[in-house]
Amino acid sequence: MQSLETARFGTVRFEEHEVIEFPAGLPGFENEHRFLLIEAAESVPLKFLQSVTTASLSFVCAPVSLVAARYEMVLPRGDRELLGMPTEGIAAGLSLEWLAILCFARPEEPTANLLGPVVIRRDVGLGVQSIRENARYSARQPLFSGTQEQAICS
Amino acid sequence: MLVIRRRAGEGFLIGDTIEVDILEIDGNQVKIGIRAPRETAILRREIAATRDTNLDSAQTVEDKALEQASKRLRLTPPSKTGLSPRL
Repeated sequence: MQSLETARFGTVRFEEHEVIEFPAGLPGFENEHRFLLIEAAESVPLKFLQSVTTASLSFVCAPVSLVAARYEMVLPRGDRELLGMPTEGIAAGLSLEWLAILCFARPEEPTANLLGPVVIRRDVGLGVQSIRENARYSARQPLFSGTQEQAICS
Repeated sequence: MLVIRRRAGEGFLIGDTIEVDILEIDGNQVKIGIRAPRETAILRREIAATRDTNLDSAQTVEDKALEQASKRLRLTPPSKTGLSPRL
């Protein structure tokens, strides 16, 4: 059992097999390779990608399917390799977790990064931030559209 | 924005130190070679966008904002496509 003093969750205890390895790091955080995926009852369905290396670093994430219902979950060849998957065809029985990192630069209007979702393979503890090559998806997709905003406020 | 038309095998210069070669054109893909000083960062645009967003996302988030976001995610259906016209 190892432990980590985090800013958000206080002392977090974890086993080595719970650590998710990001071989390529994340853009802007190329030296961060080890993360925990933490869920807290009070903030379901959000999840927290907590760095094991830097206790103060964590990313708030939401399942991609909750942000965009028909998101195209296709992994480029290089990312499949990083996750130890066959480079082509359907990898039967493999379950991948697709998460969008949320940004609260404007706390009242959070955005989700759908351009570069984090894809995690829990069975082997590997993850990658998989960046789409076309501009169909935004790196700052508003989490809630204006009409929903009005519907809730009025 | 400056727009120039080039063929495969041609190139252009940016300032005195950056040289760009159009190596190959195949359908809607272009293979480009860039010669630039080592300290010049060259990033695919989508990676730069993700890096910038990651840096913003790594900032501390207030509990109140998290509470609101989680509550609304539980209550509101996801957008149909998640498509967006721009980065």
